[in-house]
Order: sequence, then C-alpha cells, then structure tokens
Amino acid sequence: MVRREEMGCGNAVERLEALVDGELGAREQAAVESHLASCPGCRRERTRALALRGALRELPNLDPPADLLERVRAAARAEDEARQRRGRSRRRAWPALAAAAVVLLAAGATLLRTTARSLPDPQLVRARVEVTYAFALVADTCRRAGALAGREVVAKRIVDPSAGALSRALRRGLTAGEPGPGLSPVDGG
Amino acid sequence: MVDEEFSGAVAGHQRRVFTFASYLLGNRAEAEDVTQEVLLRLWRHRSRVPEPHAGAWLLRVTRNACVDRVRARRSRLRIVACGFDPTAVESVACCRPGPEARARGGELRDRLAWALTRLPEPQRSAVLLREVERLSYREIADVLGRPLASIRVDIHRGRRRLRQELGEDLDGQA
Repeated sequence: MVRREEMGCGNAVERLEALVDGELGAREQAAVESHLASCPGCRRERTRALALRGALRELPNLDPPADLLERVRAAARAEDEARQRRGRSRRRAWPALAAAAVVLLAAGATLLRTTARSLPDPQLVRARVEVTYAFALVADTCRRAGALAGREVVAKRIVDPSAGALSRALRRGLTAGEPGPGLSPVDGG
Repeated sequence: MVDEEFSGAVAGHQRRVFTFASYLLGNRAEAEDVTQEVLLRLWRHRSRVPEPHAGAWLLRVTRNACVDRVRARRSRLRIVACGFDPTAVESVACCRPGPEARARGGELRDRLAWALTRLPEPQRSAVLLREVERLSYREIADVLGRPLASIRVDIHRGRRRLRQELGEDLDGQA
C-alpha cells in the first residue's frame, strides 16, 4: 500500500465504512478519497466494502408465519378480558366495603351513646364534637364508595341512607346536647 | 375492541420485527417467539408509545429481547457442556448454511446470514440496523443507547469482520 502524509492506510481503512455510507464530513471524505486515489490496496478494500454493503442490502425482509398475528391478537384479547374481569371484581367489592363501613359506624355510634351517659358533661361535649367530625368524614367516604361502586341499588338503599341518617343524628345530638350520637332507622329515608 | 384497535397498532410492524429478530438470532422459531412477545408488549404499552416513535421503540425492545435469548442459550450451553469452552459459545450460530446450500456453492446470502450470527454484540445489531433497517448512524445510536462515535466503530468493526469471514466470496460482487 502507498503511504501518504495526509492520511495513512490504517486511518483510511478505518473510515471506509463511513465513506461508503456517506457519513463522513466533507474534509474527512476528501482526505480518504485522496488516499484512495493513490492506494490500490485501499481501493480494493473499498470495492469489497461496497460489495458487502450490496450483499447486506439484498438480504430479504422475512415474512412471519401467517398465524403469528392471530396468536398475538388472541393473547391481547385474553389479556384485555382478564383486565376487564379484574376491574369488575374491584367494582363488586366496593358496595360490600361501603356497607361494612356503615355497619361499623352504626355499632360505634351505639357504643358511644351507651358509654357517653356515664361521662361528665365537658368530656361528653368534646367527645361528641370529635366523633361528629370523624363520622361525617366516614359518611362522606361511604357516599363516595357507593358512587364508585356503580351499584345504584346498594348505593341508594344502603350506603347513602345509612350514612345520611348517621350524620343527621350526630348533628342533632351535638346541637341539642342530647340524646347522644346514634343511628335511627327512621331517619334513613 | 381488541380486534378493531389491533390492526392499526400492531399488525403493521410484524414483518419488521420478525426480520430483525431472525437475522439477530439466526433462528426462525426463536424469532417467532420474540416477535410475538414484542408485539404483545407494544399492544400493552400502546397508549405510552406514540406512533412516530413506535419504530425505534420496537427495534430497541426487539434487540433487548434477542440479547436476552442469546444469554439464555449460553447459560443452557454452560449447563449442558461439562467441559465448558467459552469460544464455542462466543457466538451462537444457528443458521449455518446446510449441506445443500454449501453444495450449491454456498450462496453468498446464506453465508452472510450465518456470518452475521457470528458477530458479537453490539456490532451485529449496529450492522443490521444500518443495512437491513436502513437507519442512519444517529438513529442507530438512539436505538442502541450508545454514543454516535461508538456506533461508527461498531459498524466499522462489524463489517470488517464480515469481510474477513466472507473472504474471496466478496470479490467480483461489486
């Protein structure tokens, strides 16, 4: 190989791939081409590089088996259905959770009403205030749970009335001073 | 709903993914598995992969899946081969031209496909992305997550190695 001051064979060969790809800058390209003009060995390498690129570009695109897409589609469909089932299960769980919360609330209120009678007045008032806020928060959560549940029957007939009745009973108990917090089924309408 | 959305989101990409996986792995059955896995992954992430970026995303995911496959093969070979010889599994070539192809004079295409599977990563991916997928060096850098200068070196070394593998078969081809 002929060696030139501007660019040696090693540097030129290193840039051959980028040269045939048109990825060299103008100055580098000129330097490599200048070297190639006087170096038969590097010109041969460029010819082989071009031959290789041609062969690589003739590699055919390959067709997947005809049923591959259907297999992927079936798997996607199965995943979609499984996701929907999981979503339905979660929605079904909401009314039950909401109803359970209301039952617990009622039990708590009853317990408080029973024990409150034995408390001195200042403690009783303070306890009622705190419990009222807490229960109002729970009642609101129950309403939201009922709405999220999407089960209108459960939401309208159990969760909303119970939570509403509880709230009203607590407010009445707080403002009137008595009777204590409690849940009256009559208020649930 | 799946069937309606599916064609637009996934079906158009299957050939590209399968071709890339086939040449990367040199094994049709494994390429089918990878294609199925990658297209399903695209379906799952369809809301997070905007269509203009789907091509690069797919090639990146396909390449990673293929690299995982090759690693798994090597692990299996290590287990099977009691006298482990690292050079024997350095490159797993599964599509070596059969006797028929060699009898025909070993068509250049067959030998090239085989030689590709003998290239180490990331040279193999870089050469395939350049020549089969026709990406620019910059796009290859994005897909492989490597600097542009490294891509240039990968392609240079990969092609030089291919030229060495193919020897005189390349002469007279240009």
